[in-house]
Amino acid sequence: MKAEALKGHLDAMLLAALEGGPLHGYAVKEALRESSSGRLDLPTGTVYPALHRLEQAGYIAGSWSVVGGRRRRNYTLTDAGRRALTGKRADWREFAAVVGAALEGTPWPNPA
Amino acid sequence: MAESGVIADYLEALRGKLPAAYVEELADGLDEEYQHQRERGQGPDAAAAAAIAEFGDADRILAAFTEAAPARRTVRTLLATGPLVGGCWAVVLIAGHAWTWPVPHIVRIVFGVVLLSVIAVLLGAVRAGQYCRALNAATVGCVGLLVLDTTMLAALLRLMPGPCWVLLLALPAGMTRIAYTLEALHTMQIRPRTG
Repeated sequence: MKAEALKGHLDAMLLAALEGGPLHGYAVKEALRESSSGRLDLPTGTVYPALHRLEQAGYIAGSWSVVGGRRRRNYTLTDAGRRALTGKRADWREFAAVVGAALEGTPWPNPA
Repeated sequence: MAESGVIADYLEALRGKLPAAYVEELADGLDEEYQHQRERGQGPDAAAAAAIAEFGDADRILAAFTEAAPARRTVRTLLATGPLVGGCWAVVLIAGHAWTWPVPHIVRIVFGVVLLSVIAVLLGAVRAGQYCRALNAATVGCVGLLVLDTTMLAALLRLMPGPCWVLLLALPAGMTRIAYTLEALHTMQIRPRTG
């Protein structure tokens, strides 16, 4: 799947990747690839600016550690990030239901 | 990692255009990618080339960092709210008959020139296509704006002939912008360096 197709959803996927615990940038990318059975293979470099954007928004917090003599930046989901992820998941379910109904002719789910 | 020529060149293309801490983080990710390629049986040169291909184009990464730069967001906010704060200052100056204040003409001219320069620099920061250029322009613009706002506040408190209701609007607006600008300078300058 190409990165362009993920526009608007990348932030939610990055937050979801961090839901299980702190990860560094490369591990976030690997987590996305593994959770999608390899179909979600982003250019690694593009993950970092997105992580920085989420950090500036307060959704994740970064901290440095030293691994093998090299400094490594790890990211942790914040409480604001968990709330944002919950909201983005709800938005996605609604979006998927609407598009599914339009493309497949499936009935619109009754919210009641 | 035995930093091969292509990886060293790749990182060199990023140095000077991004904060050192960002490049350090990217270098760590590139090292992980390189090790991954080596574990898959690639030789050093092939692994380095594959790691870079997997990482993505340096210009694309630079553009993404620049777009997400706090400097861009800060400058957009300052430019969007500038007319509001400036309007408050203007109303106070008119209400206080500022043209009668004992301020030398040269000071008025210098203030106007600095104001126009700050606006130009902030517009330049929005248009800058590179993270560090945007950061530098935004920093200069923020410092200039702080000088202008504190000068204006000091002038009002010293020269305003008496209490004026519009001050109740203008003073909080000016002080809010000073506080925002100081916080933005901290975010832009300190965090990228310390991580």
